[in-house]
Amino acid sequence: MRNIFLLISKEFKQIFRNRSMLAIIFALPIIQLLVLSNAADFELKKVNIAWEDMDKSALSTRLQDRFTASNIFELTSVSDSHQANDTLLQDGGADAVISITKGFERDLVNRIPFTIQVRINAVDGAAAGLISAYIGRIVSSFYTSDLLKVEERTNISTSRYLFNPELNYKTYMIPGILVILVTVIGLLLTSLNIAREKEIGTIEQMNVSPIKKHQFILGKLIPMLIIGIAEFWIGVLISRSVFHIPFLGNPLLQLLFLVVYLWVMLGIGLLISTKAQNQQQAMFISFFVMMVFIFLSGLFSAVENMPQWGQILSKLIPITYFIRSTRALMLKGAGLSTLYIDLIILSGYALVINLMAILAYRKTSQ
Amino acid sequence: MQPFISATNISKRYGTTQALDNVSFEVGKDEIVGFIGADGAGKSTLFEIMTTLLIPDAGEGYINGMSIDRDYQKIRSCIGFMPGRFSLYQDLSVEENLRFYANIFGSSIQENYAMIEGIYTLLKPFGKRKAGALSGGMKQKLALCCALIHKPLALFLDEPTTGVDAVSRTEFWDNLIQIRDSGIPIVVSTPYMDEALRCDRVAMIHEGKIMDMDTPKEIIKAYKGCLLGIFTGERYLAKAIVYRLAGIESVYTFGDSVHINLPTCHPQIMKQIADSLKQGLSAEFQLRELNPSFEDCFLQLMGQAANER
Repeated sequence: MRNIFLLISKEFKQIFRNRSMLAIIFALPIIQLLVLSNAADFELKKVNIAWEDMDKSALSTRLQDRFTASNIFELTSVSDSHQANDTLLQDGGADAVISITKGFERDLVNRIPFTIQVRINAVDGAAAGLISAYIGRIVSSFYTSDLLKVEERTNISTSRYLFNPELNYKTYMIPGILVILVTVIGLLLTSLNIAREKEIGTIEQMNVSPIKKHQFILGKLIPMLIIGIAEFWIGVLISRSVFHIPFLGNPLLQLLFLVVYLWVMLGIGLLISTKAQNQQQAMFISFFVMMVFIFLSGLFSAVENMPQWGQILSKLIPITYFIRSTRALMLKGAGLSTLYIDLIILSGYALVINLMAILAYRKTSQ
Repeated sequence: MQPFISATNISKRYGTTQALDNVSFEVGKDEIVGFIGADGAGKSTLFEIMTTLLIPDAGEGYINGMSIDRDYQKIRSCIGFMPGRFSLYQDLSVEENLRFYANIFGSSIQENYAMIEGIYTLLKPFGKRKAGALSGGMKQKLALCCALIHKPLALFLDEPTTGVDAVSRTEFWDNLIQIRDSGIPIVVSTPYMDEALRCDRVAMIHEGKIMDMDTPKEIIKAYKGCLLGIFTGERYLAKAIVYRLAGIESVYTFGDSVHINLPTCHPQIMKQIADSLKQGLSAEFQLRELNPSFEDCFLQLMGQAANER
């Protein structure tokens, strides 16, 4: 016990002296939250459209006004040339081209199915889908309110958004970014830290001392656990004060999830450090693992939209469960009764990975 | 009486390389024993086995009656080890390193200050400096302090003076002799021949085998044949000329001269050598009999090992 305490105090002394370590610990949460939450923003703010009107009728002009009035769309060009508009799509002058075919007004008035051609730059598929949906919504609202008589308007539904009423994308992103934050601390810093002792040879000196293997490991992991916990709550404070993201769940339950998840990450960090001979190797392996985790976690794209194999892989990585439960806890105020499965799965990971890490660590030396 | 440190028939193999081959030796309580050998001779492997970092493939080792295999936990808490490269915490200060190493052995600086006083007085002015910012010689002194601070029963130093200047090396060896006199036996390895002379006994290790182990005096006494030195500006030419003569055991350049090992220094042979040199060399030269140095003995033993194969 005394030895572990000695090692922990030595570790903190070193961490607070290491500039790059300090930068990772203190600048990372601030930068990640402030920059990433703004950069990784999928909301559509402004869509440039080119208007191509072959009908030039009163109704087509009214539809055009609808688009002009919307605060998402901006008409950057009005032209009849099909080719000129294609060029605009290509060089990025327009995100979409809406062309009204001849006979639009006649068909509308006669209640014959009418067509509007929409060409969208779909390099960013997700954005293209959104643009298409927005255009469709404007066209259909134009149809119902401008053409149908009041008694013809049936089937109108209203919807109310729960948990994130303003559809603020940041509300969705920030819990996930907090999770990435503790993942970086747990995984990267742990593996780097142990690899560093190998690199400078101090691990040999430790091995020829009364310090036992488990004491050495705990002396390494506990400081990282403490830092990880501190990081997370600093992040929560920033997200509350800067972004006004609510924290509805029970903080103690969140802490429990956090500690279990951190043990999983510390275990993986330890596992990596048994394989890596120096900090560079540890860094590369850690980054590879983190990339896989982050892309498959459902942070940037919903797990449900992944291909089958992606969904299966996503279920196999621990970060998925922690992101899901953190979102539910923070935004929905979910309790243990709905999240217990995630907790069990995370605990299972913590157990298995640490067992593997300890076995691997034992193998490397006496 | 049982020797304080003993090893019997220790072997270790890495893949196809035999790092240690049936190595046996003993070290008494009042001895500094040096292991001398080229890089890759197996010195570090031997040290790692004796300090319980590595498990040998075969053989046994004992330190004060404790087995390096079964009692490794006990051994770890009562020996001092200085690994080949500087391996203290570079980002901790001199004092912090020392305190940390004292504490993990359940001791304190005050308790065993007498142990390190002689060495530490030199370090004291730099007590607050980071270990990484010390000079090479100072680093070695600090590492020695850290290895001594828990009053170990024996010291194992793996190439402690590699990369350290000549003055610091001499001081370091003065320290080692003090430590031995205070009752701690020392096992040390070094690639420097001049340091061998300061050991009580020397083991010459080559390709995982101990070639010879004795006091430096006895090793020099055991030099076979006679040693001639040629002092000339044209050393390489002189070497080539002598090489062609019959009956010459070995010829090698040695600092500012060429050394020749002969079975006997018969005047007739010396004259023959002098004549051929006179013919071949344009510059002045001197030919005379020399007392073999430790390095000559080492090279002779290495040469024998090569011939035996």
